[in-house]
Amino acid sequence: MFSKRPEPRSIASQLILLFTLAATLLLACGLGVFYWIVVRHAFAEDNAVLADKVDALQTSFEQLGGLDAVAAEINTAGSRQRAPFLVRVIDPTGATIGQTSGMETLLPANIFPPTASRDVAVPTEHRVAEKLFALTTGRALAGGQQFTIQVAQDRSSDEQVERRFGILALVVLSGSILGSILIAIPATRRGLRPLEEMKRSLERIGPTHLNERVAAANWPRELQPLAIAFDEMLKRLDDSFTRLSQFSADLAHELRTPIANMLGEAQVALSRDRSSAEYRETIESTIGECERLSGIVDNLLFVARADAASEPVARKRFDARAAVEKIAAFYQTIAEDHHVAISCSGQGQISADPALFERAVGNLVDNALRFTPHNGSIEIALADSPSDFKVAISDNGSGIAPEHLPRVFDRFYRAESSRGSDGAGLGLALVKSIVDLHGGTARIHSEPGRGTVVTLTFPKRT
Amino acid sequence: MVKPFAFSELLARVRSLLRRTPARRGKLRIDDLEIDTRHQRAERGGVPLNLTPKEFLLLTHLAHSAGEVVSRAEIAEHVWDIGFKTDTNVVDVVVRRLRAKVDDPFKTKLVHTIRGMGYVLKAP
Repeated sequence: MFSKRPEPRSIASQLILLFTLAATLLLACGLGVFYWIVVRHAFAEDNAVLADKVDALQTSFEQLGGLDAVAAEINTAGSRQRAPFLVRVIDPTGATIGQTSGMETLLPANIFPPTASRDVAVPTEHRVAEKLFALTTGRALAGGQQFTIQVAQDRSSDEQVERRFGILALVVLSGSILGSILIAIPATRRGLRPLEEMKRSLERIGPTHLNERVAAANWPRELQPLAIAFDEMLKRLDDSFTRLSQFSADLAHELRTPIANMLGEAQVALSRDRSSAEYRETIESTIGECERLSGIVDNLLFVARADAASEPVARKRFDARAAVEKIAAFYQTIAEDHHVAISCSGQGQISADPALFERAVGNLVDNALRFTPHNGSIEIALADSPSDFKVAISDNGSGIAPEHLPRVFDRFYRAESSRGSDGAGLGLALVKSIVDLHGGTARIHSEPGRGTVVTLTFPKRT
Repeated sequence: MVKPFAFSELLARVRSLLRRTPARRGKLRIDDLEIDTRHQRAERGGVPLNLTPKEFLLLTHLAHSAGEVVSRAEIAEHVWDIGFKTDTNVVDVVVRRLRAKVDDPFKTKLVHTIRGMGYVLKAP
């Protein structure tokens, strides 16, 4: 699915990673809380049992008065219970008067928390010989004497349970992580399968069948915009492909005629001996054809360079009225021959490349002259506004049919009505390139039989 | 000049630049044609020619380079200050009109067409 460039980012592995991380985090939190609650509860229960035990010992000690009352407890201290107890009784002088056997070595009296009242001291934990004890102390009054009762609760088994529970939680956690990975992998694959399908359907599209479309298939909602965008791109590609092949055909056609003329005349000239005047005529004719060819190539180059230009044109402020009047004066002679009037209106300073500006306006006037009948008129109107500078060249000539309008700015495009004229069909393409170079627009509006208006807009820089 | 240029055009331009400065004022004479640049007048064989300002400019330009071929582009630039290449035949039309006034009424022709190159003004 992906090319073999160094480690491209994979959506699938990212999804799997994120899914697993989320699952791990949730499980760890859940198990942690569960563990904490269970362990706390177990210890709280132990504490309660311990407190009850001390209380019971105190009560029996005080009511029955003396060591004998608790002797049984001391000796048989709950060996059957879950947490067996160890008990020690100390008289007011500090001497131990009774204790569970073995307690002296394990838990000496001085490690028990002290207590001043009858209340039971807060239990403290003590670890000895790999066992955990909770220690507490209580006081009991018997025969007018204060006795101290020390009780230790063996919590080793609780701790063991706690540890086992912890291990179990870890096992469950790691198992779940593994499980979530195992779920995430096929789920992600399945989720991304439409991408693979889209790739396969895109692979079918080549330059020879650019008219195929992908959006027709029933894609998931997330991929539908992608499919539509792709189709739009294909349409644009198809269009420019068509234009490009049309362009090549036009170019070949345009170059063929002058070359055929030259070739033919040269061959005829060489077919037998000729006078120098005849050779001269052939050479002159060849020069004419070459000039025509060179003109086409120059204009094509200009348009191609303008298409690829990345730098803005060299702008200069100049009087637009003076520039267009100069153009009008140049074409005046021909206009007079055709009985066409050229007029200028409006004024203002324009910021543009003067040579390119004049060329664009000149091309448009030239075009207008070709399609304006006798007694017609051509107007060059200037309009200066805060945002842009507009030049409109209008004529009341034959006009252009609406179906040709979208393409008149294309290279070599000629409306049928102009097929007979001698231009190469590059004039308007050149005009558009010039306006493009200035970041402006060229718009054409035409009504057959009524005339054409071409408006060039040169935006002002802010 | 823009880069892809014909060497002949460069030569023609250099020549015309060299010509432009001297002898701007005064009289030019080719055969029986006389041009008075100071008073913007021209006459042929003593007959005054009724030329428009552009025609006069064209004639003067041709006379300055008498005997040398002047291209259409050069004429367009010199007479109308048009710096770009055009597909029109404006120059040809104006030369035709000039001929009608300078050559047609007279026996010897001074303005000659060099096909594929331009025009030249010279005495036969």
